[in-house]
Amino acid sequence: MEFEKIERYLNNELDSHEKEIFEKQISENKQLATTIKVYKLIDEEMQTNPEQEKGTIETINALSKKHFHQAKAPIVSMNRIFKITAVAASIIGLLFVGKWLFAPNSVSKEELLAMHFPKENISLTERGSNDDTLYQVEQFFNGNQPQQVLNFIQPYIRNHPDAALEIIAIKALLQLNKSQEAIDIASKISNGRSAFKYEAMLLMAVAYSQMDDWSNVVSTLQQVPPTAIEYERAKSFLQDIEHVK
Amino acid sequence: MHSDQKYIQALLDNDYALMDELFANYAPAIIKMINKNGGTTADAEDIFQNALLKIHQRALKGFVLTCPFNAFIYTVCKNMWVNELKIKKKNRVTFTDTCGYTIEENVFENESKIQMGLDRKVLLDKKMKELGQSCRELLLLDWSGIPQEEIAKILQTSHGYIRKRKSECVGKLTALIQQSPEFEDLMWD
Repeated sequence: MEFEKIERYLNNELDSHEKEIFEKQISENKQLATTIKVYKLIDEEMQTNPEQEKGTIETINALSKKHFHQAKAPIVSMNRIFKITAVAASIIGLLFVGKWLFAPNSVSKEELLAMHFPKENISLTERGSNDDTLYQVEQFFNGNQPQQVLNFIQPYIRNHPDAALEIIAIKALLQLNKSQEAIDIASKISNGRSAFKYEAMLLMAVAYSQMDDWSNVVSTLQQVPPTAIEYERAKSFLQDIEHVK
Repeated sequence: MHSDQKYIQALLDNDYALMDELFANYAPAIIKMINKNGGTTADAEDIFQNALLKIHQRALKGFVLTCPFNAFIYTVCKNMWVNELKIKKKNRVTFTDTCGYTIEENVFENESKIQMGLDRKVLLDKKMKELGQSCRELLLLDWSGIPQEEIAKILQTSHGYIRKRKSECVGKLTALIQQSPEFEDLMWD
């Protein structure tokens, strides 16, 4: 089967003579006609436009919090659609190689961050549907392959900015100790109106921690308002920092 | 087109006010239905969110509502919850209450359009996994809207090769779909 010709035909790239001959073939060959229909439908069906979906997903999430969460405490700060399953070990805690000791009876920087920012595996594919791009990112992220996450996610985000995916990119950057790059992206999100702005602030605080820039850790966390779901985490982290010598 | 198409359009336009109205009008019935049938409010939230996402996905592909939204969202959510119960192996529930909604034949037709589209997508995703890694990567990049010139740079090859390879990969996927037993049932025309 000449799939390249089908592609060119569907993109209207055949010259008039080629097109005439090909259309004659289609009219005489039912199998070819069906194949072209299926080929076209697959190509249309699989096109994704995260930019088109992103806003609606964020609004559904926000309205869901409003209409369903009134009677219950929030469990996770990220979109339920992009469910996150907390597991025991720490990714972020493992990022820190420097020694940063607390006073007697206190904990190390690594332990503090592991306690406040426990490892969170991600599940980007909503139940009942599969988005292969997100599936790949999910596999790399949960498989602790941050560079692979970035290789795949960065060109994708460049074309379709998406705060949820940018949060994942930030986490991958933090795993690679690329703190400043993480701050650059996080500050852009936290300065905007995204549903992820306070999640971005928390991650920015982690990045400043990596750089041992504690005054910025404090000032960043203090910007999380009491109305935000992330407030309790920010407050609790701040309290523990205050006990550090 | 039904006048309640405005809710489908609200999803497409990300119209906060109208989507807020949608939640206020229809979420309570879904909570009630799921609470009465072995689920929690959190389950209802998951189902309702997923239903709206699926409807939105199909709306992006041209779905148009031809029945009342109340009975439609109720039926979509009910079927999703029935499937969820099957997965959880909790079959001892009976759906006797329709929250006062009239479920006419065209509601099932609309729900079926949504489900058919989703089933096609599931089949496509399944068959995608049967392609080689290089085909999968190329198609995912192409379908995400990245220009082919940039894909060529990412994959360190020429634009001409990307064009040719893409058609071969979609061609392989087309053949896999046509050979699958589910093909005839999923209305590709």
